[in-house]
Amino acid sequence: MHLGKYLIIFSLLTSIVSLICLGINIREKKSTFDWAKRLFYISGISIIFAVILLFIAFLSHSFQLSYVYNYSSLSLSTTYLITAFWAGQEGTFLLWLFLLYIFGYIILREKDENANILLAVISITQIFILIILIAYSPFRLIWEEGARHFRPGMIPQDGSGLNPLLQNPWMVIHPPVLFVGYASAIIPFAYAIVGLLKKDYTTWIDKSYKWILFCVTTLGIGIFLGAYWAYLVLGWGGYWGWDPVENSSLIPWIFIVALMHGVIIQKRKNALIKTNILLSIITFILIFYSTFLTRSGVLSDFSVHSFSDLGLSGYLIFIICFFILTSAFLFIKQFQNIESNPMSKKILTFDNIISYGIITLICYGVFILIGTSMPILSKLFLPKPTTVFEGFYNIISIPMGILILALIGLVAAYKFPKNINKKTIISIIVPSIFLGVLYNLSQSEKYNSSFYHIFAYVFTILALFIIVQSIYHLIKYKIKNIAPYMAHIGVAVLVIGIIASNIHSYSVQKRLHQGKEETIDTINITFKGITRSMKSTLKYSFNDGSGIKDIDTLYYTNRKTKSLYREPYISYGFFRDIYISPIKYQRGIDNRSSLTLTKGEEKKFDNYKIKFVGFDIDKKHMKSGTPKLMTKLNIKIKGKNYTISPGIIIKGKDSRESIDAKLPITGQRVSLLNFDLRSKKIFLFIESGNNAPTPPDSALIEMSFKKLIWLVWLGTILISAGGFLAISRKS
Amino acid sequence: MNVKKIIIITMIVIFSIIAFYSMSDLLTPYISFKESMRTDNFVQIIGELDKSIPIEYMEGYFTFTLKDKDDTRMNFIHRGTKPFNFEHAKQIVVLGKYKQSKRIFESTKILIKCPSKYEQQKRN
Repeated sequence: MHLGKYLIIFSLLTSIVSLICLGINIREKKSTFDWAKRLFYISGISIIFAVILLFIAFLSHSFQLSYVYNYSSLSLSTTYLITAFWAGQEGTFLLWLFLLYIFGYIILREKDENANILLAVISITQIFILIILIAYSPFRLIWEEGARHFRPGMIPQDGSGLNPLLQNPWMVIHPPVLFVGYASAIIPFAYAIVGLLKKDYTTWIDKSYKWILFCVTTLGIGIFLGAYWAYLVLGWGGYWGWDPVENSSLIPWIFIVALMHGVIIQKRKNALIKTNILLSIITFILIFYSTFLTRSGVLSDFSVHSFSDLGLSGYLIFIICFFILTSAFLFIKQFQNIESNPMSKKILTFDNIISYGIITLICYGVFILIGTSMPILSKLFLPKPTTVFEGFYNIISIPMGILILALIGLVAAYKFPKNINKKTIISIIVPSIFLGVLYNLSQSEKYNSSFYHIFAYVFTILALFIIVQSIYHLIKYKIKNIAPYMAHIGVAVLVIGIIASNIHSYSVQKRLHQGKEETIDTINITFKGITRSMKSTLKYSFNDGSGIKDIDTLYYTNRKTKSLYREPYISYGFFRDIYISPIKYQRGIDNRSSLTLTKGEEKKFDNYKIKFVGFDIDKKHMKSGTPKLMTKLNIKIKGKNYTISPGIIIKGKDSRESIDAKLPITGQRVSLLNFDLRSKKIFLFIESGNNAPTPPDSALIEMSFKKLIWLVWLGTILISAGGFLAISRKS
Repeated sequence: MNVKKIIIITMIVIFSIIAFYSMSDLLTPYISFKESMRTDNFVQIIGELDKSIPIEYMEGYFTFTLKDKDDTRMNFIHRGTKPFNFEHAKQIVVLGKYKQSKRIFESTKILIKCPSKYEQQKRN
């Protein structure tokens, strides 16, 4: 057994003892807390060593470890050897565990009077994860896997390699930041549990507020990073696909954003106390639910992300149930004792408007949760499992989005209710409407559905209203706390960016023949050819009016996985990004030699006209077990007609023998490669003639014009900046 | 119950109706190839790529052939881009309608199921 595995087992044992000490400390008030702390630190140090060992294992190419074998190779650069740590499930669990130790350490240093309860919550979670790490250890040896062909002691020469899609700079930051966000959700939850146990329902939010902000900011940035990565590298031209893996990190984020706003109200009015406790519990449980969705096999039928089922589903469900039951028990027990001020009965007050926002966010989160969980829900309640698609999320996002924007716009006005001046409001609304309508009118409706187009107007106007009004407020009232304004402006900018890059954007597919210039919109592009290297690229000459540029798009087949990898070329612009995605490269020779014909169809091939007359099934041979399928082809050349009959003898399930024919005059071989009786199609191969010219290679590309997409990035940056500002104010 | 609560509850009910309406529109059952050929409803099917029949690419669409687990073959046409690693997918899920007159399944959406982890590949 690898040393790492011993370290994890040791960590588990020390954590269990630590938890016991904490239990004694909490219940019987005996002074076992110091021992609990020491054991926690010892456990933590053990895990730090385990983390270091795993890094060393990657850097030293220890392919006897299954995890290192599966996710790295000799040729992998140092950077990606390090990032391979979190390429797979085992490593990310270890990362999560490590982060929990860091957060636990920080909490202990604050010497909170309830540190014992906080530590207990963290320890319980850690023990759950440690058990996972023992069953699915990143340190397990490759011959322990059973199914593999590795004899004990036999160390592979080279690893499988890291998925090329993960070998890019985003892999360095996106997973770690996301996990920091995930892991930090435990702190508000732990504080809420303290509140419930100690029957003090208000101090917990003061103590955890900066952690809530931290979680909102880091989880948010983690999600945004994933979006940038998708757009820049993955080549489908989008940044959000409503895929279950994406949704499962969005849902807890929405809930913790709701919690953040709920805490603001609680601090002002001592209201929504129960709501906030619930929200912090729900966020934490959703983190585990998200883990369940992405790591069990339940969604494998319905997501483009692939999940290898480690068999963890049952265990993760157990963890989720454990936390639900214990939190519910504590919450229900204290429910009557929690005294909370009611919200004002007036419809429009600053706090009420925020609470409407919280309700909307919760609804939005619940809808996305139901949609994402539909495969599981439908398995339970319907005869056949089904799934929900992008259209669902887009449709519900419309009323939710409009409501959220309207509330953001409204809330700033009601912060200074006495100053609500009809004149000012109108002077903000009118330009917003004017600009919004003008902008949307200027966008061509040609390529997109007008159903969404009307909402584009509404969204743009609301977003512009928010931006104008926020800037006005910031200046007029000399606001010191600009964080919420910055974040909300960020939301508005993000929305405009989303509208522009989805509703107003369009794409065109074009086949580019080598050497021939094509014009798409105002872009001149010529396909120049493919480079011959391990990572081949398609080269083009590109001219968007500012001069001719040489550009390329990555397009190669990985020898090991045999998969095709592509990356887009993006020409960044102010008004639009020009996004070129290579779809299919075809060698002229391949085009030349193969021909597909439907019955009755005639196609030109060099100087010949070839017509597929029909099938000729030899019925006699059918019964004897070696059916022969012949095809009748009519060849026209130089004014004369000929008939040839290439065919196939089907000898067995996988064994076929070709009966080739020859083209008249040149004698070029004609083979029947395949056929489809249902659609009456045949697939022929024709040998190249000596003097026949080779048609040019071609590249089928999709050129998309993504309008104002940089607003999406700017919006997310502003939201993140707002978050950071808020955190720094609290520190 | 005050006015506020009534408004809030009404709005939640309205949103829920919108949500469920859009869900029922998009909830599609998995059916076999043979069944899908008998109906012209919007359905969802799953199959394996028939590699012996080449994929044909045109500007704006491509055609391919899948086979069912009972070896039924069906031809598909998809207007849009071919998803990543289409040829290497273990299984392919397609949503759309079968056009009996053209004897081809018009696919609106394709989902790929691949064997490797953490891969983000998607196309509409």
